[in-house]
Amino acid sequence: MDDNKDIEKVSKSVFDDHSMEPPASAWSKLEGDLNKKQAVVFQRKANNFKLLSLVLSLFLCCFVTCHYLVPTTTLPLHSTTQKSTEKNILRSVQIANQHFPINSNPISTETTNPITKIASTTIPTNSSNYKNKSVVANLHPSQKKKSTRKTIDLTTPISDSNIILTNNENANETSNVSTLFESTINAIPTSEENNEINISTDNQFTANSTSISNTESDSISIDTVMQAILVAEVNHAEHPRYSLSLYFAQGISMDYLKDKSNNHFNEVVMYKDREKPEYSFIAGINMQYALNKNWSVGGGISYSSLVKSMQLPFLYSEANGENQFHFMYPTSSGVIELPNDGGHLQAKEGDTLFENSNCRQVIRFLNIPTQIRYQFSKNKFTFYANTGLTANFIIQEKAKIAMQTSEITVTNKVKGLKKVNFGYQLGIGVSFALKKHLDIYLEPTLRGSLSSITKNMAVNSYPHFLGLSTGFTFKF
Amino acid sequence: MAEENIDNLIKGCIAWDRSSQNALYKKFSDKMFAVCYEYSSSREEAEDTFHEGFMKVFDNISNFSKAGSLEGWIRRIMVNTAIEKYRKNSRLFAVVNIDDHLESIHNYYEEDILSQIEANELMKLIHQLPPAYKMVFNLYVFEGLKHKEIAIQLDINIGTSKSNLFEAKSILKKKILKLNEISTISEQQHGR
Repeated sequence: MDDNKDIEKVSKSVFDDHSMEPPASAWSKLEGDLNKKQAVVFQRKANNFKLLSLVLSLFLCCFVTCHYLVPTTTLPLHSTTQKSTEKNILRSVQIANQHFPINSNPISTETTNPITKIASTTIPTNSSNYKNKSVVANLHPSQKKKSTRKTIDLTTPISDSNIILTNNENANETSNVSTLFESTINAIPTSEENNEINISTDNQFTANSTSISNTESDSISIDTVMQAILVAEVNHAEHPRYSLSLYFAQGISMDYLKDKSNNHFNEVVMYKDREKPEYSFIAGINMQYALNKNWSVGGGISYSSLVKSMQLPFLYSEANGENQFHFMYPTSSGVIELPNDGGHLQAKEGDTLFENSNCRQVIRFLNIPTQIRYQFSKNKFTFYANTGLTANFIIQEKAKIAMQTSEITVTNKVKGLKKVNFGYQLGIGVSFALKKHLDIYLEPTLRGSLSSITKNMAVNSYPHFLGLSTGFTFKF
Repeated sequence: MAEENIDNLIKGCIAWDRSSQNALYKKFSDKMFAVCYEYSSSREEAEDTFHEGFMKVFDNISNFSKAGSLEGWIRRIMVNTAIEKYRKNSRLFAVVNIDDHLESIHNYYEEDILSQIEANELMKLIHQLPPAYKMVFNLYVFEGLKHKEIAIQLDINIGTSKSNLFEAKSILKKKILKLNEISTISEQQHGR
């Protein structure tokens, strides 16, 4: 035993001071490879820069489209049918009567019914007199927390549901317009600069319904009227809370490989050289719940795949836990185990089969994504960006290996794969309202992995997918 | 001053400055080549390991944490590179029959056998060990790894690691004894 210890001790002391001169050509060989490596690093940085530029360009395009190309002057109160407008206004007036009965004569439904009729009168849309004229209304103080400032642009092609309030002082300008109310508003501050008429909540005005019947005139609180209008608007503007999307994304899947211990650089390079990404797709459904006009959250289920092709000059055999021997096909996404079935391949421990082979590996996933989305709408277009996390469950691994004389397909025979990994998703897109409850959308999307799909391997593998997603959204 | 030089070298290497890389190479190449050689079965394999190891060093030097010595960090990379190579090649090694290398030596006991052997000769003997035994012996003795760690590194059982170490030492003892005998006979002949 002492002898053993002495051997260790002496060997270590000898080894610590041991040195050997490397071959003279070692540095020049190293320098040549360093030059090559430097070029690869530069190329990788250039590729990353291109990708970043592409993403930024897309964001810039969305921003420009939204702020400069889409007309901003149009803000119709309603865009619904005559029937639903009448219904909305009627309901709104009822609500207004419930909440604002004080200081005003309740608006009767009889009064409001003609409103929609009057409002349906065709308004000349080419009148330049009304350019930049707008009415700004505020909700009743008690409702201010919920209120939003609404501007009705008179140059907007006035739909049957637009409601226009005018100042008597501008009677000439409004004379050609079939208005709902010809108001008499005293001491209403008018801003000439921005051509807005501000109506305070305390002001009273006379609603002249002579244009309807030429006989009656109701005096009502502006609060009530405006509240009725705005409640109608708010009621109408309420977006459907739920939406269901069906989508399909075509793109390319690739692995980001990371040296697990910083000591397997050569394996990362080897896998990168050997494996080529192929096209794949993602398909799924997604349910969204709108928190408000801009924000929504959702989740769903999808199917995706990681597809790659590779070439290997040799296979080696290894014993499994049951002392049976298999040929192994190492990939960055686990080691494919080829059966030793007594047929083409007869493996024994330590055997190496030198045979060029091509392999196409497909790993199929079931994804459970969750996401949060920010969106804003312009006319029929909605621009959005979303992000979220995904849990990816491996449901099948399949490899088709073609050798010179035979072809083998193996399923679920990959060692070193985790059953589940986690990832993220990013997307920006635009949707177009085909119908009131049906949108179509287009979205460049990126899905990546936060955790490796491999375990107990020298190289960690993080699958990514970059593609273009398209689909339909049903709102309800 | 020396530390400053090392820091500058590291900074230069991170910036991919060729002269700094060359200086770093010159500073550590002799020692590291010896390490590679001890973990390899031939000089050619040692050259490959040495080359790959230095490529890794230059590629990952920005990850050097300065918690330990730079030499220790580079050495660790070299050893790991050698282990990778060993793991790949181990499937191609012929199965070693211990009886070819060793008769039963359990009853051997010689006092002071190590005092009579030169350092270089000892290194040669270690280098001549079968690859599997040499790898375990090197990792255990030179790197100070425990059997559990060696088992993980080499993808073998702990029992295999222990028996490989035992056999490595046994072979070494036997070879040292043989050397001892030869030198004694030689001395006696010269004495006559």
